[in-house]
Amino acid sequence: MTATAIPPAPTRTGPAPTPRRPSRTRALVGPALALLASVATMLLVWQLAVVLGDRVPSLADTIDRLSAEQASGDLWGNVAVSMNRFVLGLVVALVVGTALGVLMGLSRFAENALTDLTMAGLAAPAVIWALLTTMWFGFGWLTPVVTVFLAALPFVMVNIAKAVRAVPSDLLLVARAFGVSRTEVLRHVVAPAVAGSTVAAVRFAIMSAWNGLLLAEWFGSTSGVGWRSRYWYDANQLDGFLAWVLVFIAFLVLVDQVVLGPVERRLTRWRSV
Amino acid sequence: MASIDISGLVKDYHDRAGNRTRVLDGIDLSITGETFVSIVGPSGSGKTTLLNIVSGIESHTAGNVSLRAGDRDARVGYVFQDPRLLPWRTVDQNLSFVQHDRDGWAERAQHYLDLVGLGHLGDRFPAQLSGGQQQRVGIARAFSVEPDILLMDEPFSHLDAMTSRTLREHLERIWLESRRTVMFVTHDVTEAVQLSDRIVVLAPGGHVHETIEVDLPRPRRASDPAVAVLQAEVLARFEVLEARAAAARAEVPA
Repeated sequence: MTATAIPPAPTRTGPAPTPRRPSRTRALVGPALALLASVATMLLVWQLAVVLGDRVPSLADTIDRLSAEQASGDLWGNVAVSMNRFVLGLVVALVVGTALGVLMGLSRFAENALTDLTMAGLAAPAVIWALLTTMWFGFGWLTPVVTVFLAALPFVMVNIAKAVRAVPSDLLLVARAFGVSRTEVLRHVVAPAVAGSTVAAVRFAIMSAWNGLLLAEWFGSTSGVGWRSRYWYDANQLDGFLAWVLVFIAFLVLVDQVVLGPVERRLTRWRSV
Repeated sequence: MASIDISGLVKDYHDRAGNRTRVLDGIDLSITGETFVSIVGPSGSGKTTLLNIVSGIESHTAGNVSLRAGDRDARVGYVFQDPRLLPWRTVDQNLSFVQHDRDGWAERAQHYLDLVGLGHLGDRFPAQLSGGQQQRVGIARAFSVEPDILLMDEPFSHLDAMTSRTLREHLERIWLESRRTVMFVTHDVTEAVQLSDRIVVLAPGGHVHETIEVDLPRPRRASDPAVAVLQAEVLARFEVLEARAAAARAEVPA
């Protein structure tokens, strides 16, 4: 049996290294590059479709059409009308959905009573709500607003209920043991605990509601982004139609990247430290 | 002077079928002044339930519990088994969250964080701390409210031996400085002997089996001969009790 010499452990001189945290610039550049790559890919696919097909207008033609819409006053007028309807329907959905979601999160009875309805609401495509509201309310402001409300509501309810159920009971016990007031508990325990799911609720609600709004305006309106898209569709003018599709996508991307993304990062900063 | 007075305390749990399980059966206990009392007992003897009732987290079935500081209700601090820090708030903000008295809280918080050796980590989030550091924040949090009475529920049971030994020394040092009335639940007899003025042994079924006075000089170390002798003696008595409890459990038909 031979003895094996164990080499000494490597020694380090000088101060212990401090853990490196990703810089702020690096944290911002990563997502920006990913977004850039995504847009570039989309434009590349578009250009391929222009070259290979004969029914796809180029990006330049589409932008020209959008400029013409802007010059004629149709762009901002219709966007403003749609935003008005969208915000109204969404705010009502957020208020009602939050109230019902909290109820579902706190009460087993409410959860049992509302879960199937909510699931049906989630499963129903927005076009169903658009067609139904058109038949109910005809061509008027109520059709898109109610569609936005119905399309957003189940997403808000589901996510808020999930958030309320996820409030950590052990932290509530800490608050009780130290005699912390209800207001402080709501501010510092409940609100931060539900923040992540609330942003998710708003994000899904916005996507579904915007979808519903366009369809409702397509079928049951004489103004707005959806109506203007249909105008160009009926005229068989693809560049006009695609110009409005660009507006549709730009709105969603802007809201997600410029508003919701930073809000979510701010609220969940503690998870990524 | 703060005091905890418990008389005739009974706690029953009822399952869905309506069957009753008695967890605490007529506990009488009085802790007065600058006293460190440990509650020990085998699993199922109702130690944590007793502490939860005293803190107001749980209700009781019968009896009286009174926490007083002179002619007013006592202010209570609580150290849990796990740190239970708000993950979205920094260490400083976690201490701020439980303050009733906002005057000078920052100085108090800094003082107790310094005492547990974390004075430089007030701006960190809990996720940036080790388990032992988080528990030290839990201890600083409880002391920072300047409680008349401090309740502690096996605060070192989730930590490794070295860390828990260090934290016991921290705790004794802070307690010697601040001299609160302490009720400390533990299953670790060594810990109880090292920290306590009195050890209350609960028996299965939830009643007080015996009370042991610990009259040893402080600060104590686990390796002190007098501490070691008393530990061995208490441990021997505790083992007899645990053996009886095990035998009783074995006799209960399945």
